[in-house]
Amino acid sequence: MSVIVTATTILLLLIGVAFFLAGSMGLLRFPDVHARLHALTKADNLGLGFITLALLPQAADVWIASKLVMIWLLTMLAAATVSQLIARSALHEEDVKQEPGP
Amino acid sequence: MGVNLRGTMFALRRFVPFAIFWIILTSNDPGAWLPGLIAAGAATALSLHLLPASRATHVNFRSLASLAPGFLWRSVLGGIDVAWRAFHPRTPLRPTWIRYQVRLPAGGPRVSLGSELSLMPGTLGAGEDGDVMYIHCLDSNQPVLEAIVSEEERIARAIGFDLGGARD
Amino acid sequence: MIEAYFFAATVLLMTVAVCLVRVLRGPTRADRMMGAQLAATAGVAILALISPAGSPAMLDVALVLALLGAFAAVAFVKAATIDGAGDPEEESQ
Repeated sequence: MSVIVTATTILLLLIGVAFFLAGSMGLLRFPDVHARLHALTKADNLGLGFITLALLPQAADVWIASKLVMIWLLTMLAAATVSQLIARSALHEEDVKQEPGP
Repeated sequence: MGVNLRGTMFALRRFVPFAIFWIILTSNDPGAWLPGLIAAGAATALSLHLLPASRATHVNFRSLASLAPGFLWRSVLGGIDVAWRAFHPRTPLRPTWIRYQVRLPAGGPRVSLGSELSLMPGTLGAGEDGDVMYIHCLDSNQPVLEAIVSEEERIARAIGFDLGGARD
Repeated sequence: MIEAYFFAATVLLMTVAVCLVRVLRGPTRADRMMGAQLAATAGVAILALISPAGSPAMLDVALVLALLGAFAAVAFVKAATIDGAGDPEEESQ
């Protein structure tokens, strides 16, 4: 049983780290501000989510576990809000409003 | 009296999450209950000052909870989508902008639409001007417009808002 | 298991180094802010990963770091744009 828990934990850790790597690769390689913001917002929070899942079996008690989940939820809420703010503040550099819509 | 009762219920709905937050923060230490009562009370007062009941959108918690699994799943898809583009040798992107005529009421519902779009595959909310929401898309070949419309409809259902006639 | 957590934390430290490159290069101020945001999120994950080996108080540090990251971004948006384009409390021009 503990082998399964260990294997699952390591798998979750790897997925989490992979999403963080994807986030920084996107931040480094994507061509413009808004595309980079996509990578930052989506990949990072998923990475933190998987790392939180990997930490849950090791949590000393239910309070530590709920604190871990709370940190993730708050970070995700903050990231989703902050990304909109940064996206909006970067708007004036790109003159979106002159581009035709779909 | 009825109004008073409704006001108390409203404040309680703000107070309970703050209290739960405090209990988790302190690992339910009984010695921390009294400061917690004060802190959660102060947080409730501040929250009522910043967003009074009259301006808040009334959310049906049960339909909100029914949204959560689908939303989590789509945010996983969003992460995978952006991850393979980041690792791909040529970073396949066709960025484009969508100016979307929002039908949701201003304030909370629109902000949550923007937040959810920011975590979903290929879309990113970038603020709004009047009723027009700017949405950045990573790949113009993706069916993003359909995704935006269905996300807006899901939120409208959760808050019990009628989107009205066809989109123009 | 602690070793696996430490390994993951080490890799995350390297991603922080990578995003500092973006902070260095810019070119826009929003880019630098985004690099700092990624460093904050990765820092939260690193602190959470080393907390089983260290003290549970590290989770509180992680929570504070998460809060500071969000506040920093809001302060940036409020201060950086002259016409308040990023500020939802003002109409953008």
